[in-house]
Amino acid sequence: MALTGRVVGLALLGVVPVLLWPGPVAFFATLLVILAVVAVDAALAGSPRALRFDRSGPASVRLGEPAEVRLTVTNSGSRRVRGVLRDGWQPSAGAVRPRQPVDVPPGESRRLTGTLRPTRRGDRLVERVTVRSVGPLGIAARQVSPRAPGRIRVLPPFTSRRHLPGKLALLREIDGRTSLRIRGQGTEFDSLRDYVIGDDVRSIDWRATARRQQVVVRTWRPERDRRVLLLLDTSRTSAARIGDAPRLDAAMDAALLLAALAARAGDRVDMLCMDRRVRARVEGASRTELLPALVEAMAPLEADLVEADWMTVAATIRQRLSQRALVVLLTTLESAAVEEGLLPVVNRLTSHHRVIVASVSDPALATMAAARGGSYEVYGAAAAERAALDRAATTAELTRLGVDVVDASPADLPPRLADRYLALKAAGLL
Amino acid sequence: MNPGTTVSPATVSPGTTAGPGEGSPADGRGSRWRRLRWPAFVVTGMVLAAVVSAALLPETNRGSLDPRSAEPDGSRAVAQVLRGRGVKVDVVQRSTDAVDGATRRTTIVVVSPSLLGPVQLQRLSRSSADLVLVEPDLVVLRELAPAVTPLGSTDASRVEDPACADPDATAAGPVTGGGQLYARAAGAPPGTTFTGCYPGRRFGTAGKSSDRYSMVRVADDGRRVTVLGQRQLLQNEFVEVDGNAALALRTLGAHPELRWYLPDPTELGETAEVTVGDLLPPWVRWATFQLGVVALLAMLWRGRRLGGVVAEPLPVVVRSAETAEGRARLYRTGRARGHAASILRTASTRRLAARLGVPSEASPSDVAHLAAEAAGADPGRVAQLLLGAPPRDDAALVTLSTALDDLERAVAEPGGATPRYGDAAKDPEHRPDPEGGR
Repeated sequence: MALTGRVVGLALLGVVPVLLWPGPVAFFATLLVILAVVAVDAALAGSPRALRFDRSGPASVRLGEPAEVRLTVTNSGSRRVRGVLRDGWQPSAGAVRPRQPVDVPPGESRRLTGTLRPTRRGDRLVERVTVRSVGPLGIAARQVSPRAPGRIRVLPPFTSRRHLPGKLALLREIDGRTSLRIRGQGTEFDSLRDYVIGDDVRSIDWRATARRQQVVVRTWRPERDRRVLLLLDTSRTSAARIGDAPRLDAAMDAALLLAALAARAGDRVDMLCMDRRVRARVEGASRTELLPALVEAMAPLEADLVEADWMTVAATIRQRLSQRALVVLLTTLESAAVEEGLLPVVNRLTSHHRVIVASVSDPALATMAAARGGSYEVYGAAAAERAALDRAATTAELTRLGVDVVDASPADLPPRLADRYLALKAAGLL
Repeated sequence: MNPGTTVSPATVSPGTTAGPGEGSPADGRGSRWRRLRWPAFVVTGMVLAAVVSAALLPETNRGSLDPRSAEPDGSRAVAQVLRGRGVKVDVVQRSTDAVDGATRRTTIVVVSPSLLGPVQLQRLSRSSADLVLVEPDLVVLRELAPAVTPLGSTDASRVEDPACADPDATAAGPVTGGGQLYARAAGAPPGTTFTGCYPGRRFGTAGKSSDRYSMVRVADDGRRVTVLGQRQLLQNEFVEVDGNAALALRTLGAHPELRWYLPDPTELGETAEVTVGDLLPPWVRWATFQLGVVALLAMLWRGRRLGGVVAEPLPVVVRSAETAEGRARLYRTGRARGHAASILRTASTRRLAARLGVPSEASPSDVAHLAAEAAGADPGRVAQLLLGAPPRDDAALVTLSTALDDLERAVAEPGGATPRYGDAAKDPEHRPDPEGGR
């Protein structure tokens, strides 16, 4: 039951009889008339309970892009339902126009189209639809909120996509290098071909030359089919916000760029999201399925307020990877967390794999460290420098243990991590 | 639900830093307390001062003609003597208390009748008790003693003879006369007796009697109303003058019960028995009721929500620089100048070492030496800057930090080129690697 603005107008009209015949009789009679009109109008309104709802539209949308969602309203009652409908999406789903007029004759159905502009990553839900069916006089209405659940998955935005063409060009450059220039440990044998003047004599395959009666050289290509394991730390340190987005989102961006690059380079990419347990995993996805699988797995993840259990992480990695692989730990260089958690177990990883620690740093700290002006700012600068020194010490310790460390701001981390990967690939160190 | 999220009503725009986790509640309480501390102290102090002064200071400032007041203008003397003679003296402040249960054997003395409103006057006139009015005005007299009318005033300190047949006045003899003077009203109702005593005289007309009196007594149907034009008759200061005491005691002590009515002005406010509603035409009330119905319906119309509140699972908000900011606050509150200076020096030394290509195991004094060379500065001064004593005060700390910046800039741009270090420091990527590169 609900009222409209017209009921106020009706009640204002009721002032006239009360003025003409002052007294309780006219007053209460007017009141009764108003109530009767409201009751009759509400009773004559089409029953909103007779409506059936059906949702359709995309299952997922990239953060920052609009999505069109459709709601089909079918009237199974005997009276026409006219009024207003509100689709109860969560605020972060960003429904552009949640209220829409609705007018469904009996036995027919209407499709309402709404636009969502989600403001946060993850699963955005809608639980109920509210319908207010107005009576023929437009004075009273009947209102119900039936369940009509729906959801849309908001995927990570992958803003570092724009770096991909440049990094792929670099990759092709590495790919196209001749055997002469990059021959070295870890590069793979590709094929044999005839010697041409200028080839490195060291690459002559004497055994094949003896068989073929011609000088034959071996050619090499960059390593392929290496395994890359991306490990996203979803513990409390990833919940910290840099600007307006949690650290985890920056780590996801970097992971996506690296995965896209590595998949194109012919490596096999797996992903694990862990804190004390495995929160999400993508394993054995083919090249074409990899990116969709990754964003789908990442979308609903939120950082948990628990300490990461690096023992479990190390054990899980050893269990999953039998051969040598590139392990990329996307975490942060918070000295306390690293010293207690990661340092004791990093040996186990470096003994079998090549390890990169990619850390999201906060540009606010650099701004703080550069601030001068008064004693207030200088104390802040000292605190920021202290944090930088701690990070430097942690980085030094990790480097000593044979770990590659990439520490950069959210915007810089994806390209720098990709560069580090390409450097390793070029050097044949995977 | 994910344990790392919290649910709050959907009014907060999501994805922004405005979340329930921003700032712990204890922190918010602390800052509010700091902000409201001084106003709270001031208000508390004022309240305490008011309470203490009210409790400690005695009630000395009672009004004139108050039977409890021992001041010169009070009436404690008369009241005490009357009590000693067995007269029951009650002090009342409300007209209802004054007239309740008052009989013909009651005297009501009204000391400031001009403070009475029409309702109080009506109450008094309906009562059957004898009245003593002290300096009443025309309005009061019209209601309570229509046979009397005020007629000017005269010098207050003149002693007069009674010059009338009233037994009280003749018994008392000469008293302080003057004050307000009263005369017989022109349209006095029949059946009332009018007795005027202590006639007032103008200067220069001594011995000649007048028709204006300082005390008037009217009796009407067994009820006696005494009008006293001279308030000094009842005051402590003048009670011993001539026959003042005798007249006061005889007037007030005529009956075994005396009600001393000190009108309370606040009573006037409550007695508007004619309400606004009585003055308005009847349709106004019903139209108002109808408008009330309109307002109620408007509230129901606007108050009904289109569906319930949708809950939004908000992520936790932990700012990444929080630890550094907390540490900065600690340094500030602790005035940790030495600590801050040593950190800034270490950081600068490392950056200089990286820029100069000094291996990380080189000692700071070596770095200082090389830096002085590169910057073309005095080695002693640079060593003092990088390795000197901690600053003595905050100003020295600020100077030190600026000097370190200048040194780094000079090393980066030999020859005193444009200061570019400040810009480079904002971007961590351009900052020289503290490890000297890998």
